[in-house]
Amino acid sequence: MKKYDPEDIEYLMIHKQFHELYPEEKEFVLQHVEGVEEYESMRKMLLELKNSSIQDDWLTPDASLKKALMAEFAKERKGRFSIWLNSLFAMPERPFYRQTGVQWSFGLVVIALGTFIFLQQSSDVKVLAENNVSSQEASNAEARPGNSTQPNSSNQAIPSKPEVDLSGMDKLPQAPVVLAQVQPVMNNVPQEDVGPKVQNYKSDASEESIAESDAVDMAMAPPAPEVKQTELEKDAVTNNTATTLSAGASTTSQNIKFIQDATIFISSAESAQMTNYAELLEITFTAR
Amino acid sequence: MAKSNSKYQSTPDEQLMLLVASKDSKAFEELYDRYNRQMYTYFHRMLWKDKEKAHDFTQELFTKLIHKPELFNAERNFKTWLYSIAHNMCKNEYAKHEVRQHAHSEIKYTQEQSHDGQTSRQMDKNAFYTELEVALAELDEVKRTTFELRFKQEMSIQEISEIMECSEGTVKSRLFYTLKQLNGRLKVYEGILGFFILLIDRLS
Repeated sequence: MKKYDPEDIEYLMIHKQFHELYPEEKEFVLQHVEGVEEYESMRKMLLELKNSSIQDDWLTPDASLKKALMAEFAKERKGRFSIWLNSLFAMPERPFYRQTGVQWSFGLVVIALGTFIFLQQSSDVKVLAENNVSSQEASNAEARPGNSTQPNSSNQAIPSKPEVDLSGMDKLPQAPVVLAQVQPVMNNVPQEDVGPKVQNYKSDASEESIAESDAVDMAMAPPAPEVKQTELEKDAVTNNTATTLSAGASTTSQNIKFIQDATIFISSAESAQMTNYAELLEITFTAR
Repeated sequence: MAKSNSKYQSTPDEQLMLLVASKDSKAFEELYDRYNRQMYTYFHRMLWKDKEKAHDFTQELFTKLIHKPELFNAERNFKTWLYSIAHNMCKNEYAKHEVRQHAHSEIKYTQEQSHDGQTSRQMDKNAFYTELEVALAELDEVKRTTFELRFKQEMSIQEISEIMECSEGTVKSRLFYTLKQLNGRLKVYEGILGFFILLIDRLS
């Protein structure tokens, strides 16, 4: 037998007269009502209540109520903003340090100071980095043959290199400096003297092929002012320094593309070996 | 103007309430237009048919919407939320006054209204509803609220359970025993009710 709950009686009353109920439904209903008569009278009352038009009975409040509420709404919209504005400036009842305007001003000043200090520091770092580079270049120039303070371990003749005029380097160009070419001259360099940290793209190439390819590259590359090279090989570096020389992209030159990837590590421990090697490298800086 | 009104007319209540929180006056106006009659009638019936009290309570209810819209939870049904506020307001009012004193003054008021230029059947029907109101006034607050929300405000069992914060089974049970109690009072009008129900069944 299906189990009914008292709450189902309303549904049964609305949809069925007593004689239309199933036996189990009758049994259930009679547990809660006295008899058929009560069931039917309750049913009638329920139907009357449900069938009467409720919405027609709804009352309408006075029109002044809507007016008052809309005015209240407009006031609320203005009020919050004006209260906030008032609190920005002089409110005598508040202590000075609690006035909103003072607090905001203080906050803005702190933010401005912080921004200024941060910018200052970052520009100092930039200047330091630039000075570092130029000092390294200068020390490299000093380490050229004739100026070297450390003995040449291989006791081989160091060919003279054309000097690079870096006088214009103090006025740094707007465009990035391009490391145009690294030409290894391998004739006088024993294999064991080649620093492992120096990546030489053309280590196996002969001088002639290098010269040829260079000629082609130079022909393809846009004309650039020649820079007189000074002594760039470094010698007296005491600290391990890793310097990455990166160049802006060259539109045509394969060598310049290599230079973008070249990384030169200079260490004090290998400075003697590197001196020999460095002497044999021709580094041409081309500033666009 | 017409376009914006039609835009708000198709907006759900919950969305309008969020716009009210953003200080949109048109949204508030639309909400008021939708619910002012219902709420005014509800307060009028629940507060001893006192028109002034109904006016004040309706104003207070909508003022709460203006000042504290953030209290509305967008996940909840707006209608049940509004009625739950109204229900709590009435509960607080009942706590201040005794119901029976006002019920007696109500009987006198409604009986005086019912005898002007009406047919005998209409008078009987009116008498039935008058007696119904008297009987309702004698009910306790909980049963009366349940009856009002179900048969006068046309709310579902689920909505009533949300407003009164009880289970649906409890709501159904209360409704049944309220009907039973009212039926005991109104048996004398059974014949009239039977006629009207028969008429409705024939016509439908």
